[in-house]
Amino acid sequence: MQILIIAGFVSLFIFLYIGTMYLNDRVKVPESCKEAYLEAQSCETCNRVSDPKSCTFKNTLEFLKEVKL
Amino acid sequence: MSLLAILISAMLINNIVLMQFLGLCSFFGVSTKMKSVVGMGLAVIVVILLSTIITYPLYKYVLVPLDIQYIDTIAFILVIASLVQLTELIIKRFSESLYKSLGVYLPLIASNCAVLGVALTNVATPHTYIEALTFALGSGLGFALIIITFAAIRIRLNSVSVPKALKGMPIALVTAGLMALAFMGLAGMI
Repeated sequence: MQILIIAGFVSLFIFLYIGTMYLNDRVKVPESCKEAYLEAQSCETCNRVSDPKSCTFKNTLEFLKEVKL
Repeated sequence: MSLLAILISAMLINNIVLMQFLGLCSFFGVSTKMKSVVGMGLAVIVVILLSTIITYPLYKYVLVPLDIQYIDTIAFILVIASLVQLTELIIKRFSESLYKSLGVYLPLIASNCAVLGVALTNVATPHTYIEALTFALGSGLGFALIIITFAAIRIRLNSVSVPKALKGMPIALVTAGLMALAFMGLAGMI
């Protein structure tokens, strides 16, 4: 019985998320906010370089490949 | 513990970023421009407060009575993500100016572990609803304070000569570590 309650709740939450995501996708970003929106989405922690002169994760991997042990 | 003590404790002593290491992705990713960090800080305060308003009663009055409190993590993740989508939709639809200053950062917060961390901490500690909201407000303010301070330091670092090996993220990590050490000095204040 408890398994059914859990499955019901989790399904409800998933549908809630999908529903809100769908609705949110249907409302377009206002034209006047597009630039600010794109700028805000440029969070570069995972695919960074804030400073192009510094070493990126990709550069480090390539460097490691070149190093012969 | 009084509400003021909870607020100060959540904001400075048990800061979510520097003491609990939550929300580091946006902390490092967005803290390069002062304009961005102010918007991000405000967005985090709003989302943490809204998520606590929903998740605390959900846990206390739905999950606990049904004896399924162990699904709190997955339930909170989905509820917070839905809440963020809904908030973004409403702001986008009804207030362009608010969306420009705050709403554009909401997609980055949908998966921010600081928000989830505050929601989970609130239900794990014996907080009342008001205390939980105060804790959430303090955590949000703490995040905003730290990210704004950190951005100010990073902006200054751009104008000084840093060794090449430390440029960019390494010096940012060292700076964050030093800030965390400084904030550790506040431990035991309350």
